[in-house]
Amino acid sequence: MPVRIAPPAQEMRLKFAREIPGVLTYTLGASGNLLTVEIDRMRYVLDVAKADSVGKQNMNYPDRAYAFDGDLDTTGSFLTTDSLTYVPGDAGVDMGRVDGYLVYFKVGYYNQSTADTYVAFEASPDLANWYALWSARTNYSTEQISTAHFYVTSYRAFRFVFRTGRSGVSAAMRTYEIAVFRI
Amino acid sequence: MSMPRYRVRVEKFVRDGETHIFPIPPPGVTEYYVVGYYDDEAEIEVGARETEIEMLRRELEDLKRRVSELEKAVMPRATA
Repeated sequence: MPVRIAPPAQEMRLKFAREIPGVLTYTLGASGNLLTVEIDRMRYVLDVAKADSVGKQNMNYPDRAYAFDGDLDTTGSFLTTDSLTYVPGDAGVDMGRVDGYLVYFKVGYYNQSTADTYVAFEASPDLANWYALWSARTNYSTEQISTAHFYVTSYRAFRFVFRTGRSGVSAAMRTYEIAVFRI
Repeated sequence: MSMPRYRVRVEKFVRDGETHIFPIPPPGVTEYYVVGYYDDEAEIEVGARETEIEMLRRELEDLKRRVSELEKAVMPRATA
């Protein structure tokens, strides 16, 4: 279940939980709508607009198509919750089968007061068990934006979940894009 | 900048018939990435902000130590 993600930096190093023969290190950079992946000195350019997830139905909120429109800049209105336990975020996608995927996401989140907002990115092999791959919390009242990427081989579906840390105080989040490339 | 890794326990909870598996990060960690799951444990890397904070703390400690050393060096002259 190799998983690795990277911080919201211009260039992000990506490693693997299990070593893949011939692949020591690869980096991923984001520029505009293009992701540049470098593996063993070979450079590949991935256009988010051509991700395998583009046009897929949003399994969390079918009417929120912006998360799979192939554009890293588009998003929608904030989804909010007062729930103290995780509830589905505004976006999720089922790729249909377990395969090797490079997943890149961009998400915004904040808290409407000074409590904590927790947001997590989950992956599932079977739509019944969901594993957190990334999580962040913030008590900022202005939008925080995170990006991350993973290479995974054990999952078929990906989605956001979020919750608030204090009853009666809303957590807010919105997805800009979940780009899934079948590798 | 390499990010610190931790082997941590995971918690599982069921909601609406789905099982969620989450690592339990060390206290104070606000962002983490999962490197892999191993039964009831997960290996995580903490976020860039924590790493940056840790680096700044070390720099601050280094600066404090240098200031202290300089103060000690200056003091004898000032009192001479």
